[in-house]
Amino acid sequence: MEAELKNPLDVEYNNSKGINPPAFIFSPDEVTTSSGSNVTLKVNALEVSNVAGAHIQIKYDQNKLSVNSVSQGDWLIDTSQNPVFFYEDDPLAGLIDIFYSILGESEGLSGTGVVAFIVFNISAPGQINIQLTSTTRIVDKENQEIQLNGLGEALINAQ
Amino acid sequence: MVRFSKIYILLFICSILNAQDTRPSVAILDFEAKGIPTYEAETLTERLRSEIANTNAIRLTDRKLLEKILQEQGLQQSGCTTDECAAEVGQLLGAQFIISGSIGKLGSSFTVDVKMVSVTTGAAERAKAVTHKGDIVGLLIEMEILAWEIVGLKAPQELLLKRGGDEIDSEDKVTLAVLDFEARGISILESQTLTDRFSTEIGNTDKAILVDRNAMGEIMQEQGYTEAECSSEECAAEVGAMLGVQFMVSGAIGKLGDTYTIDAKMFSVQTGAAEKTINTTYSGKVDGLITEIEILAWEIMGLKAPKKLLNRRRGGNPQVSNVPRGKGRFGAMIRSMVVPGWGQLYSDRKLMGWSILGGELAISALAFSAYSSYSTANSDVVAFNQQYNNATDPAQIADLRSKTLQAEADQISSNDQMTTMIYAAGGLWAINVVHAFLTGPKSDTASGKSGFDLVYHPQMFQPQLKFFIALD
Repeated sequence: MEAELKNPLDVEYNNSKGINPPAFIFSPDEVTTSSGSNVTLKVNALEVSNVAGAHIQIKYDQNKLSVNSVSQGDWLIDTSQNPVFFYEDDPLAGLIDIFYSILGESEGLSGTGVVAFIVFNISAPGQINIQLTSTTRIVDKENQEIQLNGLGEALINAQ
Repeated sequence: MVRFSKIYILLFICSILNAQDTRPSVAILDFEAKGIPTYEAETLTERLRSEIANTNAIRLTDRKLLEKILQEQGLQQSGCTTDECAAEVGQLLGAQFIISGSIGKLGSSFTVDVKMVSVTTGAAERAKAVTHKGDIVGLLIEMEILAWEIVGLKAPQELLLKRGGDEIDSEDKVTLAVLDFEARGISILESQTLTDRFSTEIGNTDKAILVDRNAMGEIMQEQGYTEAECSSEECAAEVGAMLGVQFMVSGAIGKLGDTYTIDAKMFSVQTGAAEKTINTTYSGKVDGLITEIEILAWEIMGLKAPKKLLNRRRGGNPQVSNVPRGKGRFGAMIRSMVVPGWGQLYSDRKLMGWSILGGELAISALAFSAYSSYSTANSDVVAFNQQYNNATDPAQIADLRSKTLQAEADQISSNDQMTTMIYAAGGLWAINVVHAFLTGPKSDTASGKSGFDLVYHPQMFQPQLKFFIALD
């Protein structure tokens, strides 16, 4: 049997796709399901350091998908810094904007973890691409931008 | 009284019938049995009686008459062991000599003592003794030889050869030359080929020293003969004397319709007398004459032809001395296809057979070991890959990735080893099958024969190297 080493959180795997830390990726990055069903995608931060604030923009095909819900990921919940988390969904443009920030003098978040859970409803069959747009940016507590080396994407095969 | 008179009347009639015969009359008493059953001694004495008649040197007194006389005298044949008794019985029979003797057994050896007593003087005229080691059946030949020797004659070469059997040494071999058989209805070339085969087979009997054909050709040339012309006994004897051989063999091969006849004669160069005359008739293809003439070669030497020749004559598979009946190359090949090495074992190549079987088993064991490693590595790949897919910690993911790749490498390596072993096992199997076929038991038919032979070309008066391949 040939092993499939496609864990979305695997640095080497991402490296093979041209995504290097620090980065934001989807997990899973490929889903096969049926039209009409719901799909949960996790938005992961990959080996980031001292991130005090983030704006994550996600582009989806609004003709085939609709957003059911967006919720805060474990990585933000479990931390003691109590970040502020909110999002905006523009179903007409097919854009989701997720924001989080750590207030006060607390250190930013470092490492790898789930930032948000997004539940999509699939309204039409076909291959549906979901991307993190280049608008996505992260900053440290000095509000200095931290360069991202990769923005992942996810593919839904709806039958 | 009446019976006694009848005996004398019978004796009188016999004496009249033999009045013109100047040969000495001899009566033979049953030999005394010492350590062997009486019936065996009687059987052996009977063989002496029948052979002594062939010498033509004596007149043999009727056995029934002898028994009646002894019965009248209240004696058993074997009980009349003294010279006096023998002389007395001889007188009653009107015989000039009485032959008596004893056959004893000492361990695995048999002894035969025989003497010829003069009835007139009561003295032993001639005595012979022989010791035979081996089966009692061998005494039959000894009795035949004694039959000649006790009457003062040399036993025929044929008998002496029989006595020698396989134990005969080179000194006991006879020297002989074979003249080309006369061709009657077949081509001279065919006749010469058959004569060649006859000579070769005589050599195979190991009982004769054959004179080089070149030497014979030279002498005949000197005498102004060709082999074909030297068909008379006188010519053959003359050539034989010049060659210094004891015996000459000449013969003729004729064709009558679809039937072939072969006549061969071995005669003594010294006496000119025929020692052995044999003939055979054969119907079939001319090729079959080869077998017939080979069998004749053994028979003219007073030997029984080997079973393989007799089988070939019957059209069956010839037997090879060290190979059981029915074995063949294909049998060996098929067996080796089923179980590597079996064909070699079947062909009595034990070492090779066990080596191949051992080799196959060793390779199979290595292949199984590789398969076992492959299975373990495959399980590891599945398990690590599963853990890798479920892991969320990057460090753990990296570790599981490494383990998965290592297990995968092990799996590939084991798979390669397994493939190599399977190829090795297959290669050895193929070699084993080919080897079994090539070295398998060969049927000793014409098909089995090919190779080189040194033959004599009579027209060119030179030996030639012949290469032949059987096409059947």
